[in-house]
Amino acid sequence: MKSFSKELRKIGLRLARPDILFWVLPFMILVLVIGTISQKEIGILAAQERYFSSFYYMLGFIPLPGGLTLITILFINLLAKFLFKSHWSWEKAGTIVTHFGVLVLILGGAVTYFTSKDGYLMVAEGESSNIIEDYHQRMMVVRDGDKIVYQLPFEQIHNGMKISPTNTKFLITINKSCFNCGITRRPADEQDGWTTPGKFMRLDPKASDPQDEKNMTGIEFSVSGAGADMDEKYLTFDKFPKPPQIEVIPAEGAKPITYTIAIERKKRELPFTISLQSFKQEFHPGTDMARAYQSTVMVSDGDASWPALIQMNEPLRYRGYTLYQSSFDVSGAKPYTVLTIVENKGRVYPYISTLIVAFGLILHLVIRITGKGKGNA
Amino acid sequence: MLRYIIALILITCSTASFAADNHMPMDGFGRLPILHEGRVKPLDSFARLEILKFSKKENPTDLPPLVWLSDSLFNPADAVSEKIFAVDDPITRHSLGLEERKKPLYSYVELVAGLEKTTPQVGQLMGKPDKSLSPSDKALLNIHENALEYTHILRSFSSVLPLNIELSPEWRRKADLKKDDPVTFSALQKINPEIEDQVKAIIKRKGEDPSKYSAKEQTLVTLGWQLKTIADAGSNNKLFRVIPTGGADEYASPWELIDDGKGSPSTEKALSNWMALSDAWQSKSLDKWQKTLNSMPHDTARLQIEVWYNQIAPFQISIILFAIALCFSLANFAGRHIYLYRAGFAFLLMAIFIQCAGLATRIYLMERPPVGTLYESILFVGVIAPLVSLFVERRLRNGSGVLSGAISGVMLGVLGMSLAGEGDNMKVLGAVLNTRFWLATHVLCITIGYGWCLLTAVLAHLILVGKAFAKTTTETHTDLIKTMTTHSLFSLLFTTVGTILGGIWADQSWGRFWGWDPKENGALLIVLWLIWLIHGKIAGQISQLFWICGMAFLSVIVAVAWVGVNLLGVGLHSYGFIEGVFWGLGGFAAFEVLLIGGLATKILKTDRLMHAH
Amino acid sequence: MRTNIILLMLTILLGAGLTFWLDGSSNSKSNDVPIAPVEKTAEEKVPAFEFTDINGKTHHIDDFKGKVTLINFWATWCAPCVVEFPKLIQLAKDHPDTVIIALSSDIKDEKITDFIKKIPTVPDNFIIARDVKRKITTDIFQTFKLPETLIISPSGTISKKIVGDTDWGGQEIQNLLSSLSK
Repeated sequence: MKSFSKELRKIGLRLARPDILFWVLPFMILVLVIGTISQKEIGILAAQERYFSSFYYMLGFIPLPGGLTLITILFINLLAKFLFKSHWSWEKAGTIVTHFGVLVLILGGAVTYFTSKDGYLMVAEGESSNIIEDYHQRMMVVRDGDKIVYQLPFEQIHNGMKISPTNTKFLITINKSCFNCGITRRPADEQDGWTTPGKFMRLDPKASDPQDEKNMTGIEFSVSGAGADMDEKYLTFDKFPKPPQIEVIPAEGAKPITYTIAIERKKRELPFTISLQSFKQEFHPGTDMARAYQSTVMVSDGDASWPALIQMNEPLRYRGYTLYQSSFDVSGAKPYTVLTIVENKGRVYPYISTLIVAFGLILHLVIRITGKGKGNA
Repeated sequence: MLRYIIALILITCSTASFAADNHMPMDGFGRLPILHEGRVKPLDSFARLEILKFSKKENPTDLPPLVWLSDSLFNPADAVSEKIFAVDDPITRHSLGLEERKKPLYSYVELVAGLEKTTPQVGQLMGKPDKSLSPSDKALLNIHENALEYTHILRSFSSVLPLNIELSPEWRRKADLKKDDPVTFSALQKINPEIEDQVKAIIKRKGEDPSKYSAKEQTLVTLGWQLKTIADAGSNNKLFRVIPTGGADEYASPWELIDDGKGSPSTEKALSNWMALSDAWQSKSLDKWQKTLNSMPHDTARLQIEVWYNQIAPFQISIILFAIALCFSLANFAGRHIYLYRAGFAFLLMAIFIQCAGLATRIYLMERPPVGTLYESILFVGVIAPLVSLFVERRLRNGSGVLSGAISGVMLGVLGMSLAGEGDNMKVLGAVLNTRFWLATHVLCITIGYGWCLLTAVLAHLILVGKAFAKTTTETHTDLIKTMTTHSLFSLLFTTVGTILGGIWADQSWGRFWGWDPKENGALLIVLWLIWLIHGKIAGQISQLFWICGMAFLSVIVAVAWVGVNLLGVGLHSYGFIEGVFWGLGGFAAFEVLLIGGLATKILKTDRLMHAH
Repeated sequence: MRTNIILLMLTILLGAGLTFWLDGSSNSKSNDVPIAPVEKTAEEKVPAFEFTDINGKTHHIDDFKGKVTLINFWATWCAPCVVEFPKLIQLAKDHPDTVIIALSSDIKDEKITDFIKKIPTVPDNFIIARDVKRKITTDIFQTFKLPETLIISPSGTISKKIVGDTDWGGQEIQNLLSSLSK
C-alpha cells in the first residue's frame, strides 16, 4: 500500500512538472491563432468544432493537438501540481490560489461542456409558447399528420444512404445533403424525374454561417416503392413551408396515408410557458441603429404567473433556465421575439474562479511588492 | 438622376459669394444643435465631420469647415465649386474622367459628369457581396455615397430657399405671395394641386407634345415639372436634422417636415429662423445674422463644451507634449542632467493631465464610460501606459520610467490619430455595447491590461537597448528586470481578470461563457503568452535574455490581439481601413522581430566575447 | 495534499450547491418590470386662428376650449382623405362631446359642397370649412401632405398628431379620446 502511494506520488510529481506547461502553451497559442483566423473563412462554429473542441486537427499534412487535448493535458498538469507540489507557504500563497482558481475555471468549463443545452424560443406578440427549438440539432422527420413515424439526426445522414421508415412501404435514397444549403436554379438538363418545386430549385452546399440558426439544412432524395406517380425525386429543407408529401396506399383497398418528409429542429419543452406581451425596439434618435431591445413577457408556471422584462444584457433566470433576448422579427404583421434559452449547470464557476484568480494574483503582487515573500515570481 | 441635380441647384438663386475672409462670425452658428448619427451635436462637429469624410483631411481648403457648411446650405450654387472631394484611387479618377492634379481634390461640379457616367456600374457593384469588391470598386462606391450625401447638404433647404422661377402675377396672387416675397417651394405648395389639375387638363386637351402648347401653357407645364423635380430630389433628405420637433433629442430635417408630416406651429418658427439666417448670410447682414442666432434656442453647456473640445483638440496637444517629454528624456540619457530629467518629467505629467482631461470631457459628452470603440480604447490606453510609467519612475528614479511613458504616449497618440480619420469618433453604441456596467468593468479592465502590457514591453525594449549598447550598469540592469517582472504580473492580473469578465459579460448577454470569438481569443492570446513566459522563466526553461525578448515581443502580441482582431470583423465600412491596418500591423511585427532579434544577437555576441576573454 | 483535495472538493460542491439553490429558489421571482413611462413631451399650444365654415359661420379656435377637438386637414382631391371622411363623421356621431373640424385645402367651395351632397347627414359637431389659400394648413401648422389630423385637448394643446389616414373606429383612438375627455 505504501509503495503504491509512493508510486502514485512519483507519477503525480512527474505530471506536475512545469515543463509540461511550457510545451503545451505554444501549441495552445498556435491552435488559438489558427482557429481564430480560420473563422473568417469557415465561420465560428466550424472553427470551434475543428480546432477548439477537437482532439487533433490537421495543418496541411501535419497532425497537431486540438483544443480538447491541450486543455486536458493542462488540467492534469495543473491538478497534479496543485495536489502534489503545492505546499502552502506565505511566498507561494498567491501562486497556489491563482492555480486553484484556474483549476476551478477548467472544471466549471467541463461541467458546462457536458451539461449545457441551448436552444431558442420564438413567440409572437400576444401569443405563448413553451417549445425550445435546438440551434444546432437538425432532424430528418417523417410524419403521418402530427405523429412522427421516423426521425434521424442530420449528422447521421450521408449521400447514397437508404432509409426505409418503419411501417411505410417506401424507400428513401439520399442523393445530396448539405448543412447549409444555397438555392440555385436547376439547369434544364437535370430536371428529369423531379417534382416541383425541386424541378426548378437545386440545393448546393454553402459554407456554414457563424450564426447556426441561419444555416439552412436540406436534403435531396428519391423515393421508390411508393407507387409510380410518387416515385420521384424531391427536396426539402429547414423551415420549408411546403415539405414534400408522399401518398401511399398501405394495403389493397385501404385508405391512403400521406407522409410528410421534413427537416426540422430538434424540439424540447420548457417546464413553464412564456407569453409575449410586447416587444419593443428603441433606436438612437434619427437612426436605424438600435439602442435597446426588450420583451415584456408573462411567465406561467402551474397556477402562478407573473410579468418579467427581458432585454439585452439583462436575462431572466428561472428554474435553472436562463432566457436571453437574442433576436427578433418585426417584418410581419405581429412582432416576434426570439429568446435564447440556456440550461447550464456550470454557469456559477466562472464567477467563483474569477474571484479566486483575481484574489490570487493580487495576493501574489502584494506579497512581492511588500517583500514578504523572498522568492521571485 | 444626376443630370438634373445640377439643373436643380441652378434653379436656386445664385447670390453674392463669399471669400474666405469675408464671412459671418461663426461662433453662435457652430453651437446650433443638429441630430446626426444618433447624437445631438453642435454644427461645428457636423461641419468638421462632413468635410473630413469628403476630403479625408481636416482642412482641405482655406475655408473653415463651418464657413464651407454655411456656404453649402445658403448658397449652394457657388459652394459646388469648392474642391473638397478626395479621389485618391487613380483607377477611380480615370473612370470618373478626372484630370490628374498634385492634390487629388475635386469639386462637386467636376465630379458630376463622371458620377453620371459611372452610375450603371455602381448599380452593379451594389448588388455584389462586399468581399468581391476591389479597392477601386470600393473607392468608386465611396465617392458616389459622398457625393450623394453632399447633395443632401446642398438641398437641405431647397424647400424654403428662394427659387429662380418667374411667376405670373395671377399665380402669385393665388399663392398668396406679395410683390417682393421670394418664390419658394413651400410657398408654391399652396398652388401645387391647382397647377397639377391644370397641367392634367392641358395634357388631356392637347396631348404630350409641348410644342403644341401656348406660351402660357408651356410656362405652366414647366413650373409643374420644376416643382415635381424639387420634391423628388428632396424626398428622403434626412441628413440635416436641425429643426426641433418637440421631444427630447428629436429633430427633423426641413424636408422631413414636408414629407413625413413633422411640421407644427413651432417648427414653423424654427424654420423661419433658419430662413432669416439664410437671408442674412446672402445679404451679408451681420446685424440680422447675430440677432437671429441670439433668438434661436441653443447653447446648452454640452454643445459649447463639444465645440471647445473640437477647437482645442486635446489629444493632439498631448501628443506634442509626449513628444517634448520624449526629447527631454532622450537628452537626459545622452547627457545626464537634473534639469533635463525634470523637464521631461514635467512634460510627461502635463501630457497625462491633458489626456485625462480629454477623456473626462468625452465621458461628460457621451454620458458613458470612456471606452466603447477601438479608437476610444487607444485614447484610454494612451493614458494608462504613461500613468503606469509613473509607478516605474517612482521605483527606479533614473528616467527610464519617464522615457518609457513618453515613448508609449507618442506611439499610442500616433496610432490614435491614424485610426481617428473615419467619421465621428464619438459614436453612439449598438444595443449589445450599450451597457454602462460592462463598459466600466470588463472593457476598462482589459484595456488597462493592454496599457500595462505595452508599458512592460517598452521597458523590455529599454533593457535590451541598454544592455546591447552597454549603457546600463549591472545594478540598473537587474533593477530594470525586476521592475519589468513586477509589471508583467500586473499585466497578467488585468488581462486575465479582464478576459474572464468578458466571458461573464458574454454569459450575461447571450448565454455562453466562452464562444471563441476573435475578440475573446485575442485577449486570451495575451494571457497565454504571459503565462508561457512567466512559467518558462520560473521553470528555468528559458534564459533571462529570452525572457526579456519575450516581454519585448509582448508589444506585437498586444497589437495583434487588440487592433489585429478587427481585421477579422466584417462590416467595417471604410475601404482602405482594413488594408491599412493589415500592412501597418505586418510592418510593425516585422520591425519588432528585426529589432528584438538584432538587439538579442548583439547582446549574445558581447556576452560570448566577454566569456572568451 | 489532503488540504488541497478537500479545498478543491469543497469549492466544486459549493458551486454545485449554489447552482441548485439558484435553480430552485427562483420561484416566481419577477424581476421588476418598470411600468413603461408615458412619453410626455412638452405639448404645444394651438395658435389662435379663425375660419369660416361652408355655411358662412365664422369660428375661432378658442370657441372649442373645454372640448376635445380634432382638426382634420383634407381635400376632395386627396383619395385617402375621402376614404376616411365617413369614418370621421361616424366618430363625431359616436362622440357628441367631441368637435371635429375638417379643413379642406380645396381651391373652390363648390368642390366641397358637391362632395358633401353625397353624405347623408353631417352632425352638428362636425364642422367643414375651406382653408382659403391653405393659410391654416401650411402657414400655421406646416402641413403639406394630406390627410393629417391634430387631436387637441380640452385645455387647447396639441396632444397627438396623426400623419396620414388611420383607423378611426379602432381601440387606440377610443382610448385616446376617452383619456382626454376626462
